[in-house]
Amino acid sequence: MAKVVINGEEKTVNATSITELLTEESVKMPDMVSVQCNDKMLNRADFDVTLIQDGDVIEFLYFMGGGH
Amino acid sequence: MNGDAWSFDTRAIHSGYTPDSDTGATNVPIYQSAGFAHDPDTLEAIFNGRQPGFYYSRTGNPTVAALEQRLTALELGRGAVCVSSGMAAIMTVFCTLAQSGDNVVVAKSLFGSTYYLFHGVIASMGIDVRFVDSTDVSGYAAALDARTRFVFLEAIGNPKLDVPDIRAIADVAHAHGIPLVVDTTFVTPYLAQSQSLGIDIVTVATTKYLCGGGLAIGGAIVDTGLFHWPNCISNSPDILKTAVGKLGELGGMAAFKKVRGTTGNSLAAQNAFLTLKGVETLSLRMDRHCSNAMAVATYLDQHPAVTVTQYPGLSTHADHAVATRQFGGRYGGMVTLRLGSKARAYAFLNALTVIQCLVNLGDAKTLAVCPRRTIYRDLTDEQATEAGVYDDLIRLSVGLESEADLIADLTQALEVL
Ligand SMILES: Cc1ncc(COP(=O)(O)O)c(C=O)c1O
Repeated sequence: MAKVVINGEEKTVNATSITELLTEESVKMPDMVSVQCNDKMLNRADFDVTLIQDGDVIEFLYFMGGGH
Repeated sequence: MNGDAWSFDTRAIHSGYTPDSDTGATNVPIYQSAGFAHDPDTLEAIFNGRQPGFYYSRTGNPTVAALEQRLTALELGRGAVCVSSGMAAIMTVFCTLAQSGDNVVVAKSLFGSTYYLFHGVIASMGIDVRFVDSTDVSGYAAALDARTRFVFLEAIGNPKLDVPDIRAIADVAHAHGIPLVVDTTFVTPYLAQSQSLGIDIVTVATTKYLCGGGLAIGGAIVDTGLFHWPNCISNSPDILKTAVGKLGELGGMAAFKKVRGTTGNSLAAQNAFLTLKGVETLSLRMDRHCSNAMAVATYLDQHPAVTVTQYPGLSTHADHAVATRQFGGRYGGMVTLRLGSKARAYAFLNALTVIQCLVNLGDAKTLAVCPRRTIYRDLTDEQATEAGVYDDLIRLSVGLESEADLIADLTQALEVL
């Protein structure tokens, strides 16, 4: 379990990787989402291997729909 | 539900939409609404991309988004942005990737409005447009330099019907670290799998074969997923730099979408709906366009009144082997013929009864046009010749009617000459 901030909201999550976090958070259209961790843009290829740590500030960012 | 494991036809029918959970409606609803209401926190989250959603149809609309997901699935790509026309797709790519002081390398064999966009509009924006022969791979390499932002060509030139070796030209562009942008209007994703040809960005006039039936003007940009955006943003326009900085590999799509929204090149929901319906039958229609066009071209090619017939499916066509390899033995629905003089060409057009004189293409109906004094009126004689356009040239968009009726109509019209 890790305590993180996701899109501004504090949460305790079971996921250990970004890929797992996308599933745990039921992120819609995960292919269409960019992920930032502690202000750093993550490569999609690294979603599986990027481990979630206590205190991480994670942003899921959408460009589809209205955003950006 | 993009179902990457599904075959092309299943994706064409099901991707991008599951039956509406409230009503069970199986067709994508037409969200005919300029705006979408939310509480203020949600509205802020949507604006900032922290939550998916819609707030104003100029920047995004659910019906349009369903079409974008379907086109992404057809190309097995990274994402798509739909715009108001095929021309808007090209202009949007242009404004996103290039700025004053840059140059672009463009194949000469182009649709008339595209030619004029490059020559008459973009060239006067301080961007150097370097035209090259579309099938001369070494010509592209020679024209590139450090300020070249992308290479642009048509998968089959309109109306020259020449066929560049896309893979070889992609290799040239990629060796310089720049994307290859290809207008695939004549081939659609059914004839050409863009990613496997090395195409980074597709522009397409959905007006034509994707919608079919000549119903609705529209266009799309597809990011095939080959290009690694974070590598290429130095010297890029700010809009691209910002989007890639925020969204990484999805930054290219985000930037196209931002340009669409801010320039107002948006696709109407009604047109997105009509295009979605058309896409469902794309493969069936394309197969018939191809077989009818082959029959028409074969007939015209042996007719003594016709001086030249062009169709990439004819074994005598200069690029027949390239076309066969790239498009899986199918050659599309466009055929051209020359009749020796403008007067003979116009007499032929006037004599047609089934085939209509009309500038569109990709319709169920067979359409014919003499492009030189219409679509290409703005070009000098030299430019027109480079684009493969002559006073006596007729461009046929072969439709879905019975092959026998089309041949009969051509036969009687040629007899008048
Ligand atoms: C190859 C090609 N690209 C682009 C376009 C422009 O499409 P639209 O009329 O939707 O702007 C056309 C139109 O004929 C075309 O043939």
